[in-house]
Amino acid sequence: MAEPLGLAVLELCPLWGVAFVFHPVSTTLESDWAPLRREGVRFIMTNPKWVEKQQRKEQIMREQAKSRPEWLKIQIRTGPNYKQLKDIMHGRSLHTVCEEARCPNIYECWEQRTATFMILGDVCTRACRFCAVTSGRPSHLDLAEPKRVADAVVAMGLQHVVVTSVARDDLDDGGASIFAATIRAIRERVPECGVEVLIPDFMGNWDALKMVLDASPDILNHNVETVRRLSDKVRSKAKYDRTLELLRRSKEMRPDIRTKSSIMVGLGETMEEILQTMDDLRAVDCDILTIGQYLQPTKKHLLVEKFYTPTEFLRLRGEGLKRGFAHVESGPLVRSSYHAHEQVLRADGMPLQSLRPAQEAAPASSGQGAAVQP
Amino acid sequence: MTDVKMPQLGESVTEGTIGKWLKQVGDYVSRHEPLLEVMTDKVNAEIPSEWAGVITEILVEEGDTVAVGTVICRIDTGSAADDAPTDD
Repeated sequence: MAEPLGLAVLELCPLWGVAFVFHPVSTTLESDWAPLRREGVRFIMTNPKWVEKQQRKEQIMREQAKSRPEWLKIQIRTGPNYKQLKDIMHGRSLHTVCEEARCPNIYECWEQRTATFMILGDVCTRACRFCAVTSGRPSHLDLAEPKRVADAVVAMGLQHVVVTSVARDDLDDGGASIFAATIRAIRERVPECGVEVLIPDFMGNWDALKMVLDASPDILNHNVETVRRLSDKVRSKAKYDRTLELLRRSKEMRPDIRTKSSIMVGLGETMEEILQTMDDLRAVDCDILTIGQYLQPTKKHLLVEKFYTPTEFLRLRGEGLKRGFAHVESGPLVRSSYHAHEQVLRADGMPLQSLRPAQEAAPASSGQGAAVQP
Repeated sequence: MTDVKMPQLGESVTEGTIGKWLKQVGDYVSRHEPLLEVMTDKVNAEIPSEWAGVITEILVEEGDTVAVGTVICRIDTGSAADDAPTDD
């Protein structure tokens, strides 16, 4: 199902102006897409048209940076927790999406001792136009990683952990077995910790999906990222309909595991398209929705087309709740795993997988209406 | 006198751009009070002061980009007691 990479590059160029590709694609490129100049392992497009386009893009970026909305301002607080978490991660050679994706919430989350582990290495086989994670050819598979993640969860004293990964289209199971092993390793060490996985689409390998579900995560998260019309432009290889099918099949196989998805806004979509995407997610019984502002990580990535106001995010949250999502987290700096722990508490209904025996023993708490926050 | 340096905002970040000075020369800044805004890749970040004192010098202007570790301003921490009240 792997598409020829040369084609993928041709598709990228009109969008990026400059495409970073780590594979030897020069032979597949037609002559008018040349010249290519080799710089280290990267090929950089030097066509004057792209250069001009890139310059225009950088100009827009500079203007945007000068007038960034107030609501996107963050505070740097590198307190003791932040520093300790950094030591725990780096000491175990673990990766976090917080650092790799240059997440603006890192100071807030790490100070609160929450972090999202990124397993299966730090090199992704896809090159999505919104994501800052390094793309290329991953070198190896680290079978000891699940244990190290579990060790870190213990060291950090987490109550809820989010585990995500790079896409590993080079592996037969897309890395599903490592996901499953990680869930089990955490369960074994910290049975009371909620486990959420944010998985890639495994190229539609549903056996791989089942492998993850069989390990019983509390939440299965798979991001739709954007509306249908922009999906192919924004994401690499991932397909809008395959995302919906993954969420549908998850629910079908394991109705007791909550499903979750995320939409980035500000990529040029219309309000109607966002609402349609919500409808599409609800049609496959997705339980939890997160909506946040797309922010351009580097000049090589897609430009921000619109900065949504906090009021618009509130409206989106209302539209989501109206459609029956158990929980909607919506705000300018909301990211896929932002306040994830609270979502588990609020998205009532099915008990947490890991807490099931304890919850059955305890009297039912008044979880109803908990989705409403001030 | 204490040198305030451009902080490192992320693993691979080697430079930073001053967005806005929130204090001027002569102003008193207390510890943890926002001192300046730095523009990062994605957002603007408020940097709190690690020291209490009076700003004596601002060495990098708004909009300028300097390497991490560059001295960006100086604070006179000598006369000011740590939690001295400001009277502005």
